[in-house]
Amino acid sequence: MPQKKKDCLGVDKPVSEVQADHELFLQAFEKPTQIYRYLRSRNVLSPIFLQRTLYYMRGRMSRSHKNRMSFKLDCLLDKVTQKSERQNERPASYLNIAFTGFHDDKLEGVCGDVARVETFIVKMCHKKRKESSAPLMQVSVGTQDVNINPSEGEGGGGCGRNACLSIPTHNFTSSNGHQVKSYVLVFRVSLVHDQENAGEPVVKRRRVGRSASQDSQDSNIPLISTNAINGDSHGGVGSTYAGELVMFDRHGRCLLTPGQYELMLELQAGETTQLCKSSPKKNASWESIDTLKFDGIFNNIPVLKFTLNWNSENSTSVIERPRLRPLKPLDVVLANSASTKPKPQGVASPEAPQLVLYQFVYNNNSRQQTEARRDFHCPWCSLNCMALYSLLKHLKLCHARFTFTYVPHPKGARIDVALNECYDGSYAGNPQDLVAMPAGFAFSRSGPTRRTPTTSVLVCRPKRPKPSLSEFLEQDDDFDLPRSYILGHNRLYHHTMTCLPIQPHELDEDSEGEHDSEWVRQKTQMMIDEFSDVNEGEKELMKMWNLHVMKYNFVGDSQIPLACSMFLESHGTELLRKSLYRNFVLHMVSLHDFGLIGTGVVYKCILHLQNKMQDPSVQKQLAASWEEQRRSSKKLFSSYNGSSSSFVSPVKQESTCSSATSNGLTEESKSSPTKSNVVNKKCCVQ
Amino acid sequence: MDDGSIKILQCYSDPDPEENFYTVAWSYDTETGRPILAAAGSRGVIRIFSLATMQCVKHFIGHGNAINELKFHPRDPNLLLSVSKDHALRMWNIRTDILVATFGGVEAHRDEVLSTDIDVEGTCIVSCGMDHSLKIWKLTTDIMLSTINQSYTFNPSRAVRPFPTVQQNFPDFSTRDIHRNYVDCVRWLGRFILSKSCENTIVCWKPGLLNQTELKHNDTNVTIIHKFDYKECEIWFMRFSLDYWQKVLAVGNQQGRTYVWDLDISDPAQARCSTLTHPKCVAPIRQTAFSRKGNILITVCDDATIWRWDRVAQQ
Repeated sequence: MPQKKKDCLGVDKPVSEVQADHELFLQAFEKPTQIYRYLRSRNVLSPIFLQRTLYYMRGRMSRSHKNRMSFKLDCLLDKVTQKSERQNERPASYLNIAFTGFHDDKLEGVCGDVARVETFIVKMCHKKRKESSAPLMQVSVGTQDVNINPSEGEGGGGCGRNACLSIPTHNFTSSNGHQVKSYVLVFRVSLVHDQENAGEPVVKRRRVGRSASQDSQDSNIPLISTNAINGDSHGGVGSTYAGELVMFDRHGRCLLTPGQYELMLELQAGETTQLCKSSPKKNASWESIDTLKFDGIFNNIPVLKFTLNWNSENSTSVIERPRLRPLKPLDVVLANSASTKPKPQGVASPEAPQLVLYQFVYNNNSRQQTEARRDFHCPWCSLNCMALYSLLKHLKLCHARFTFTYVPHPKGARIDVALNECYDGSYAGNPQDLVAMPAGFAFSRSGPTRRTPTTSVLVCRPKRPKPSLSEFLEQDDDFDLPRSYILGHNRLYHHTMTCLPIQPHELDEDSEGEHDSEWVRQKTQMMIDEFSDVNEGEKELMKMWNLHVMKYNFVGDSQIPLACSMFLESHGTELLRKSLYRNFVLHMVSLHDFGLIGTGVVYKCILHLQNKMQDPSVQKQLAASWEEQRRSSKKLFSSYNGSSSSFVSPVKQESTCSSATSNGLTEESKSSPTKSNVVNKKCCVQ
Repeated sequence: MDDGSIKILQCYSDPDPEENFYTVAWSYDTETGRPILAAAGSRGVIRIFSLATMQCVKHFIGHGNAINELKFHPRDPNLLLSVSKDHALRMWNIRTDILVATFGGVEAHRDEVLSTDIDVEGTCIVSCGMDHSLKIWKLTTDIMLSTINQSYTFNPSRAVRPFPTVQQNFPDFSTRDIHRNYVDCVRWLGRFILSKSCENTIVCWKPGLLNQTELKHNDTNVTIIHKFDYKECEIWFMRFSLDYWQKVLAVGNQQGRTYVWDLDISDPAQARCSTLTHPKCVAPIRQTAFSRKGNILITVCDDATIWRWDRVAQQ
């Protein structure tokens, strides 16, 4: 929070009230400020976007596109070759390692003998997406012979000869062919007093799973203490010891300061060609503090002693044992260390720094005035905005919980800060993120995540008005609310029946129409079946007709003639098979009576149906069913004698009464070709 | 624990402080064999916990209101049945995260569904609720079987349409004649059904006539086989339970007393009832549960106490 509070309130209010107001004011501004402070630190660690790419932050973009005018594709090769030549010409610096000796208390009687040290540089590269583990590359850079267990006095006077290794520093560039994550120096010591078995280093091993950069986090001291204390280090002929020295820490800083080093070595399981060592966790053991004495550690462990420094000259292979000298200042030369340095904060600001006054307004009373700033840094996220317009734009867009109003000031600018009452803090992203399974997957920071696309805007370059400060002046109506460029669906919709979220690929089809649902059809049929005063044939026709109408959704009276003809098209034959001719005729008559169809339609439909009857297979069926009816009705007729005129009477062949439709209207004399034997109570027609 | 004590192993807390869990069910992950626990409650969200990793690995939303009971299918550990205050039952395939079927609608329950059970062979579901009715739903119809199969192979990212969830509106049997009040607990006992309301009795009955074997949709007959009576249990949401082998039945009442019946007899009239009481156990016993062998019974009370009863061999 900016300093120097100055209360501008009138003094007529009681002090306690003033204080309470002030408390409220502070509280009101505190929450958004804390939120923005938190976001600031998070964006430093893992930014969501880069400020310099914003259209209003041109000041921060130091790149320009002027090279594009003169760019030619053919020049690419020349550029690269020139660059590498320049690198080679530069006097290379060297990492010089002078080995003083290999100490192992267990090796007795081999003093004075010589061990061979082979040095490797292990490059750990960045893992590409398709690879399962980070690739490692191992390159040998030299082999020297060192004395085993040289005594202290030996060469103390300066006449000892020591093996020396010089590694040019261009081996340690961060992109040496591949994107390299880190470098590790690996020393392999093999005992050579048996000349036949001139301890060739064992098959090159890939140290899979040993992430040395992890080691460097634990210890910034040059000694790698994760090497285990191996119990049975009986050195002997052909045994090999190895030790690692991590060169760069997690942030790319070089760990190898010049000095004298003692590197603990571990016995390698000699002849076996295992490709990976056992996990460090298995061999690691805990030491309690009181037993840990630094002197004691090295008593039982094979140790390689050497001196390391960075130099601009190549040292000869054997040099004088270094005497104690004051340490040279560290002048590490790392070719591409620029990546580790933070980029300069943009070029010179396009505007001369002005006075910027922040005035906090609460409840329409200004409460606090800050001291003026002479720069364009955002008070909440410390972002250098370079220009007043950029600052105001940044404040307005990135700190939307406040409203900012610009008031020109004779000496610079005054910005009134107030709480934004209309702030909408709801989640503005893809609503699918909130309900997807596993929960929180979209917000995890374990790497890029496949996102469900719900919008289709790819590129948008809207016409921007010329940047002017007038847009920040006090306005009565805010007509420049950020108009959303995303049209269409950014809401989470749910299915009607299952209440499950609608996935983006299901959006195109509306399946919730409730049109002709299965359950409605089933229910209709069940309900019709429950009628007790309707015969089976009627029920059957009712079901057929209702299902037909529900399927095609006829809603208007004018559609009924169409409904009838479509019904006959699809169900005509079925009607006849089920002996529902008369029922259908009755239905037509009812429709006519209600004025839904004209007589012409009735005539046409029944004609159509009678035409269908001409089909021989249909005729056979009809004949068979009528035969059966006649038989059964005869039995019935004998028991019921002449009560109602609407009785079944012996049937004539239907083919003879296929003439006029008007015959269909007088039913008394005709038989009713229904399935049931029950008296047809509903057959009367007006 | 073998020494008679109870030890807490894991504890999970929902991030929403308003959540109240009403029901849990055990199953296992068919790929790894590890046990999983499903839990659900007032928010209407089903949470699946993997006990090996101690995390909530899945959640299912969709129910419109609180969930009153969860049951896993006895033959398929991936099928989870949930019944809800929103009058419906839902069957989920928790392996593929698909809603297989909903049992609700025009002829389904008309009020909260309180309890459910799937029979031992996995062919029928019985459900009961506040509308006094008990309904049986068959799982062996063609449409159900084919939808269950399809739920294993359905790939949402390649599909054009959403999964064709079965919307079963019509139970295969329904009755309101057994109880006169909310039916708050139901279990299968072979082909019979045990159900209770708040009328101090557990009724053992079967749909249709005594010798009838098939379920008829409009059947109005029910046959009551036996009634297990007890006392002082007139409040709702008290559940009884059976042991795994369906030989013992236990229910608790609102005074802290537990009634246990031995069902392993041929004549139901001879079912002996024992009562388990303890002077300190006075709060309503909401649920009971038997261990797999049936020799340990756990009862839980409204005052947040857990009681363990061990079956001791008679001397």
